[in-house]
Amino acid sequence: MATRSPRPLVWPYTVLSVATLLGAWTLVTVEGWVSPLFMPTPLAVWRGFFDLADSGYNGVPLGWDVTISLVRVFAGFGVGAVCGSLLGLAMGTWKGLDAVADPFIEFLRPLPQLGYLVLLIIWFGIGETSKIMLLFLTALPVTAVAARDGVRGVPEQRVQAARALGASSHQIFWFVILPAALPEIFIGLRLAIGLVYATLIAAEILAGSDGIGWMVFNAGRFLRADYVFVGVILIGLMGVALDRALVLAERRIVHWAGR
Amino acid sequence: MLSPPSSVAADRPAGPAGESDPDFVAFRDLVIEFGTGEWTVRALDRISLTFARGEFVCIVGPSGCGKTTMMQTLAGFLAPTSGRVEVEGKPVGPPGPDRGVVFQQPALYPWLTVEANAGFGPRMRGIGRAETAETVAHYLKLAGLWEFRARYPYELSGGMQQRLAIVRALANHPRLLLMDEPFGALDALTREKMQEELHGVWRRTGMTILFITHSVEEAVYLGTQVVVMSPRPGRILETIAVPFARQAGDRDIRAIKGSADFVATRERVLSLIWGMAHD
Ligand SMILES: Nc1ncnc2c1ncn2[C@@H]1O[C@H](COP(=O)(O)OP(=O)(O)OP(=O)(O)O)[C@@H](O)[C@H]1O
Ligand SMILES: [Mg+2]
Repeated sequence: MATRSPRPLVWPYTVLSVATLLGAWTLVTVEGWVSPLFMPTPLAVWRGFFDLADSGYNGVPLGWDVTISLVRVFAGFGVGAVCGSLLGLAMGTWKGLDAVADPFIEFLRPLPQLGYLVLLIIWFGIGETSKIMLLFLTALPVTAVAARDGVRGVPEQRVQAARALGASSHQIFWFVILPAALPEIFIGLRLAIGLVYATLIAAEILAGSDGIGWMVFNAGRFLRADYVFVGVILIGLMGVALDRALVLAERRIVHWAGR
Repeated sequence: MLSPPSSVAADRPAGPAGESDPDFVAFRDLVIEFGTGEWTVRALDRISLTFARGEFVCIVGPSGCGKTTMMQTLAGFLAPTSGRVEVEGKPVGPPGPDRGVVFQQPALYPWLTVEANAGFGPRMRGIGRAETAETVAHYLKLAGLWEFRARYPYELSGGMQQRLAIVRALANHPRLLLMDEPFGALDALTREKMQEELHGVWRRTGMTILFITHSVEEAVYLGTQVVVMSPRPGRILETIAVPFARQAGDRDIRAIKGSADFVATRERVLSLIWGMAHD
């Protein structure tokens, strides 16, 4: 389709920078310049990973911690993003609904999620409900505001053109406003998944008995720097994977964005 | 070139009675005001203008004189403050597929392919797939866009996008085509090519067209009538009948624009507009 301009070769630089970091890490740990209590050697982290993968942490398999964390992300983000985007589309369409919902959305949006986690724990207990509720409330306002702004930003002439072509109000919503707002909705989704993921890890540390965030925190308390490193690296990789997955979906679905 | 396919010509709302109807489109004492109270702006002041089916009416005038407002009222986007706008004797209703609209910016749908953009109107109106495909193929081929049917609008040049916007409006077989500075964003060469093509469409379809432009030359070349407007409040200064659009034969666009008659008419319209500027 669109011809791609020849891109300069960049991956060697990426490889080089990662290799440099690994080299520096190896050097300072193997030479003993930094105590293994603070920073384990790469090899120790590698072994720690297989330890955890084989026998788990504190009897909880590593796979379980990763899975339960991802399930929470998908449940909270999924429900929150779908509800938020729909709410935002409705708010963009009906001024009355916007007036009703806007104060709550605007209050919730800048509120630090962990600030009201305690309330949710009081209301829903320490189990899954309070965590998923927290993630739901994290995703909701961000996605709602993005979808609403997306609807508001639809150029008037696109709607006028559709009316003059014979489209009804319903058709205009489904065939013009919704697709026109999709790029903004995707921006909201990407913001939301980042926030949800960060909030989840923090919530697991504060009020968890499993999950990857809890594992890292708990290992930290027992000064298992190798396990902490494994956990932090896993958290980072999972975060990148979640974001990449959304970017890929975005490129496929809203291929016209920004053109 | 751009004549409708045979199956299409049948549902064209033309008739022997309509052909001679001098009041096919009628603006009667049209007043349009924006705002209320102290901030009322009178954009159009008792506009009266009628023209027959098949005319190519060009509106020229300084910026802010109400050209767009006039077109938007005929399209149905604006309701008259007072007065009436009629098509075939009936007041115009809300916007609809009988009045095709082409804007300065093509306002295409980038999430749809060229073909789907062209067929948007018929699809919304529930016209069958086969018939839509036939109409769309016909106009896309004639507009030179057929090879690009599977592309997206952002992959087209500005001129091609504007051609697609015209095809999209034509695919509804409107009885009126309203165009608001459709070639304003194009370079000079593309613009002249588009003028020739639009002239061809009009010659072959007998479509009634209301065309707004800032270019007096464009208006005199394309129009059967040139309406000159004055600003604040918007009024019609003069309506001038021009012969060039109806001249027989496929004459070269440069030859027409260079002819003494053409230059004289163009200068006459220009001096009207300059006259206003000096008041
Ligand atoms: N929505 C609106 N609200 C208030 N005033 C308006 C509105 N639309 C147009 N006007 C005013 O009406 C007058 C006519 O505007 P219009 O857009 O019809 O002019 P125009 O002849 O199309 O100008 P241009 O050649 O620059 O496109 C202007 O004075 C403008 O300020
Ligand atoms: Mg205008």
